[in-house]
Amino acid sequence: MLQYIIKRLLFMIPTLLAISIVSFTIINLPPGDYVDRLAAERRTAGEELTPEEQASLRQFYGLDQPIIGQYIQWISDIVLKGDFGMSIRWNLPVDDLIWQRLALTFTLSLSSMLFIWVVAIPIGIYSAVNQYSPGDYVATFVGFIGLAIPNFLLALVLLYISFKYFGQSVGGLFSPEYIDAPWNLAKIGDLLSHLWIPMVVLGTAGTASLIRTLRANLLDELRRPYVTTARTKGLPEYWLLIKYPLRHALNPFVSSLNDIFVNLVSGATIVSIVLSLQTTGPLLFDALRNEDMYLAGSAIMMLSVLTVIGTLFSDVLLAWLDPRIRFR
Amino acid sequence: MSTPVDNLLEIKNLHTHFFTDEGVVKAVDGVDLAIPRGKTLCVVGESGCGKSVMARSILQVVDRPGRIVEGDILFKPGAGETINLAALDPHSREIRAIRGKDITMIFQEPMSSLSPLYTIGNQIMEAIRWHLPVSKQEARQMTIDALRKVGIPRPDELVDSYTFELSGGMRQRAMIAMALVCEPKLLIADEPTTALDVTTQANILDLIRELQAQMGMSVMFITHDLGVVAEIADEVAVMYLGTVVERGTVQEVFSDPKHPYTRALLRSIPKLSLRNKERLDAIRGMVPHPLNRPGGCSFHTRCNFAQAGICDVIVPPAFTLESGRQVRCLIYDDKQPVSFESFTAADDVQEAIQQPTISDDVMLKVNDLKMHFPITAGFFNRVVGYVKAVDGVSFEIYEGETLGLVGESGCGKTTLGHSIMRLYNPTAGTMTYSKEDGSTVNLAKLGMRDLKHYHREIRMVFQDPYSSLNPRMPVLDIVGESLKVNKLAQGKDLEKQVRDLLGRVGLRPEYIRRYPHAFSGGERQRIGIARALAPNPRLVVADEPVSALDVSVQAQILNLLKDLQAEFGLTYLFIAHDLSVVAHISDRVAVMYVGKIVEYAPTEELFLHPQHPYTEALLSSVLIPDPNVRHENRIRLEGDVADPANPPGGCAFHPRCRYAQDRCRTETPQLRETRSGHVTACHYAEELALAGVTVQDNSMPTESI
Repeated sequence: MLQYIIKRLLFMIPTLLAISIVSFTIINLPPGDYVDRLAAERRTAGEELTPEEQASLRQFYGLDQPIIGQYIQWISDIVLKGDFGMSIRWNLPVDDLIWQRLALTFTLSLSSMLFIWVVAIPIGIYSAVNQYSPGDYVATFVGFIGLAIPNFLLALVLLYISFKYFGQSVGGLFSPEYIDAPWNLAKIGDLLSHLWIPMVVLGTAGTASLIRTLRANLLDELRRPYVTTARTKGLPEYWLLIKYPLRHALNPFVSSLNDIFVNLVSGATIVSIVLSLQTTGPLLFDALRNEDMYLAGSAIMMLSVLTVIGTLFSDVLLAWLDPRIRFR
Repeated sequence: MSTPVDNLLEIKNLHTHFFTDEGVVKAVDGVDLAIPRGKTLCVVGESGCGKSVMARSILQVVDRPGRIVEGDILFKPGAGETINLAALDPHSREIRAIRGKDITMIFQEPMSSLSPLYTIGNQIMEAIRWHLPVSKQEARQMTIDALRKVGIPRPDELVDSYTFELSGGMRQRAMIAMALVCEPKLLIADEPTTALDVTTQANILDLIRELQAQMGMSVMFITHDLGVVAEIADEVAVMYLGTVVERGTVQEVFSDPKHPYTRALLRSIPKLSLRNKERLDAIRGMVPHPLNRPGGCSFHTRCNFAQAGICDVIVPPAFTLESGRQVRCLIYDDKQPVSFESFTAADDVQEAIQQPTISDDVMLKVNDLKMHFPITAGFFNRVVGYVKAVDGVSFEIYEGETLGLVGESGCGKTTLGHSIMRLYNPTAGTMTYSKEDGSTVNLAKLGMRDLKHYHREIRMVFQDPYSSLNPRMPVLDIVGESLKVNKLAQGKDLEKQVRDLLGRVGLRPEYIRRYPHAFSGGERQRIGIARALAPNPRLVVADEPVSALDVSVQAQILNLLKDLQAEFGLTYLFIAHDLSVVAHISDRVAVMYVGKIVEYAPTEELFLHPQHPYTEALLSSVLIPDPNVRHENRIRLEGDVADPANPPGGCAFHPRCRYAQDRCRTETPQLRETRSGHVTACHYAEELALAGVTVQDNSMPTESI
């Protein structure tokens, strides 16, 4: 098992290197750089940046170096000093901008995931074991509704309800008085009272699809001969259900766990914008629109790294769950 | 039974029905059975007759939507104690206390019957810990003891292994250990050897018999293989469409079958006879779907003695004959004129089989053929070794003959067949194929374009009739595809040719637009054969074409293959593990072991005078459907087929050979002629006096009609 993890960690190195190169290249693909854009903005405002000013700005941001030099500078700063460079638009170090958002995003992701598991796994099991029962039909119906409603719409509805009936501030993860306050219990409490809306919004679709997947997987597994074998051993139904078919049924689900990681980090942009959450999604979106290269590059890089880590996490979990993978 | 017998279990008028959307499937429909204490009852019948459902009903582990609707299952574990299992709630504590302790089950496929996610030790200990008040250490020790008892080597290590690390035979042993660890009073074995090799099957049967004698338990053994029945049964119950049609002791049933179905079953098995040109007596048609059960006697649609107006109207009750045997057939009803003399199936009159003509012309000469598959490992997929699936094979196939190829699974039979089809690119060697005009071509080196023509002349029939037909193509496209691809026919002409072919293989031409799911296993195999025959081939490679089929259907397909061979002058390479089938159909037989041919001779010569110890052991493991010929001192092949990636030095068979000497460990024997027309790869072929088969032409009951 340990050997397996070490092997997987070694395999990560070339992947990460490739990710960094690709994300840097993509950011550099659009014609023009930040200074061009700044000059155009000034022009519409009636000002003119002289070529000398542009050159000195380029020199200041390091934009005059050859592209390989820019990359080496960028990556070695990240690896050696943890310095992701300056966000040109926000005029702040990228790490200041990104770390807090990343932490919040992760909190949100994790809580949504737990929400999904806690809700979906029992319902999925119930649906499979009592196939075509009224309870199964209700779960199926609710699940399809959850899948069909667009997330942002659900977000708006919940926002309205929380504002109208609970008198909560609209949007964001904090009430205005806590945004810049230092971390303390009250602030955490405030965070939790705001967290439930995005958690439910992000969780609904995931819950619905997990119920369906788990139900289908489990229905397949329940018909397998090893379930009958377990039954002939005299095991109680609930015990054999959890020990045998459920563990088999979780297998395909765990192997897609890395998708959930990625989706929760980057896929929730629209919801985050609607709810004005301080997560990485809107930040990346904004950075890309503004050609804020260092910010965008760092964000893409971090998301990709998270994806790789998520894949590692799900693979290790899978190897723990299914010995056949460990022995390959 | 009229004589009072001490029965452990009695099943009375059991009905288990499945409530599906299409209707009620009466899988078990009035079964009466008794299992005497300490004896073995074999339940035999074709698939779809409700044997498994009946067995599962005993422990109430029938899958949804099935349930017991009527009847009693009386279990008598001790003196005066009777529990009606059918009356218990399937989830109740009472029945759970019996499951896994007093009554246990083993199943056909040990790979899927054990979970791959837990070690075998974990799964066995679980059974102990639910039933006996023992500590974890004690349970583990009991598990190791049980594994040792079933013959698993190094049990204290293998207790922590997973199912996929064990071979099929070892898995089934682990499964048996699990079933026996709590010392049950009744073991229900549902086709436990069907998925295993003949050699492994023989070992497992011996094991079950030994353990039964040791522990004094009763066994209910479900099988469709009459050879297995003859080998281990004390009592036999024959099931057809949810009812027991005949019961008796194994001697009675085999020597004097009373029910027409039992007679037909016994006659449809290929005997290990060397008069191999005769037709098999196949049972007409197939087991009807339980939803379309015929009225009256359910067997009347396939019975040679059925009388219209009687058998299709009256449901035969169980008649108890003076010997105490029970039969459900109106022949034994004095008030009805049905009898064995009323043979009505005039259409079933045997026609003498046409003898194919075998010429002296070699059609395919394979010389030193090798097929090695690289094993890769590490970061850069370095080649660290080769699986030598086929490793220097030479033989000839003559025009018009049937060459049988036998060996345990993992011997490279299928790889050899696929190499001849050029589904692989052979590593080395030549395959010289003589075309119809007499010119020759080396198939091993043919390019893709030339192969296309050649794939018309050499065709393949596959083992699994379910997965080898594309479920999304109608029969017309499946059978006609090769004609279309090779531009041999199209449009109306194509359809006509396909209709002809379907007629030839015994399918109704109207079925041309149907999809494979509408056909039974035997019919699908006929489609597979029609597909192979479509472009008018010369050589057909048949890879285990009947091993997935029931005996009665197997007989039909074997007859069909022989008829077609005579009609079209076909040449067959017939790959199989069932030696009785091979003996029946082959002119010559080659025996393969770990990628090499070890013996090669005309069928009769090989079966009567085997020269290689491996062949002797294979022949010894053949189960003969005659309870008087039980192999008490069968040659047991221990261990598994050697790993073709790392075969033992010298003769690959030496670790399992009971005659092995020092020379066998170092020197690889070459194929050489050891008797006239008989080649063997064994250093001591001439010195060993090996036993062949006892010819069994007269041991079968001859039908009085």
